[in-house]
Amino acid sequence: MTNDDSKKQPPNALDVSANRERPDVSWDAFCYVAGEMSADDRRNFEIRLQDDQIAREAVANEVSSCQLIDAAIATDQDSVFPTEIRSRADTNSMETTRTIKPLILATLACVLLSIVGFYGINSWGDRAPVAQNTIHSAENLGPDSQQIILAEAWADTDWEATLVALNASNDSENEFDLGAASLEFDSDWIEATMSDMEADSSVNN
Amino acid sequence: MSSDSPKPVPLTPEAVQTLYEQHSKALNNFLLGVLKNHAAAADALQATFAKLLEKGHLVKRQESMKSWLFKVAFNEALIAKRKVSVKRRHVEPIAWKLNQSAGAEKGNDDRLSQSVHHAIRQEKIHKVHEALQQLPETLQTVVKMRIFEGLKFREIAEQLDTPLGTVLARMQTALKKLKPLLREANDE
Repeated sequence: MTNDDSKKQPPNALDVSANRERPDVSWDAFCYVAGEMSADDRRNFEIRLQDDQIAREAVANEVSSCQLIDAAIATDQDSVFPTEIRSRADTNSMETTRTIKPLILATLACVLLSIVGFYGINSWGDRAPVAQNTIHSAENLGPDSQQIILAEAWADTDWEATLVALNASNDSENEFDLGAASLEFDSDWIEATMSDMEADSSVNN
Repeated sequence: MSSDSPKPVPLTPEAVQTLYEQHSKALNNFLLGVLKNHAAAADALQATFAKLLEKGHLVKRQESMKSWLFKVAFNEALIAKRKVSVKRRHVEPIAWKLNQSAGAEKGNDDRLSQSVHHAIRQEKIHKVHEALQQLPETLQTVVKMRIFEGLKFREIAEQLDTPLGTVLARMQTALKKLKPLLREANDE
């Protein structure tokens, strides 16, 4: 086969040793050492190794060369590795910052909301004392006081009903309708409280 | 006529030692290339020098001793190969991967301290490293994938989405470029 023929021939996809650009035995030796030869090529090369000292030395040299290249690349990997670690560390710190920033903002927002909420509830408490607490504390009061507290509770409940009505009216053309509010108001618990208080006052008397 | 020639004298231990120091490294590499297994290569090397002690004196010309040793080593490797053929799947597939304490370098440690030997080796590695850095990126990639990562050419071609012939050509070119330096390193 001439050189021109070998140039025209496409590289054989199955037989790596068929791709011969180097006339020396080194490439065959490399393919043999690397385990890239087909079974037939390997057998033929080993027949050659029986008598060809150049081929035998080529095998030894290829092993040695590959060891050196392997070690050289390993050195390169070692030198690259710290850089990778460094870049990863940088990336991690950036990611951590990215993660922590929203958390800090969220925490600050929560604290702010808590403060606002605390003062808001306090001011709410001034306007609308909780009826339940009023009822419990009423047990320790006289009948007159109980009636006053009950009246306050009624007023509170009425105020809550107003709020409900406000919400409802917001949904429907923002019109306030107290009649509608009174319809939504459930007075069962007040009736129950009234009967309880009457029973208590009769016992006390 | 042969009755006139003096009877061959067995090799002295010193002569065997000298031959060991001269050839054991290359022989070990050769055996690694054939057997692809450090332990099997070490065993074959030992058997080779046992044969040298036994029959080395029959080698007529001392200049052909190297060739004789390689031939004996190859025969020992073939014997070992037949023995390990059943266990072939478990044999280290990459012969060139360095075994830290293995190899014929032990023989040289008698003359050179380990640190000096290590320094010389590091110098060689440094030179090869520099030569590798000067290769084009495409060649470096193939060399790295084939020798360092131990991938087959076919796998490299698939991974790089490159024709197998191109991968082979790149490897050949890279080895060709590195050849003078590697030859120099191997001869040292």
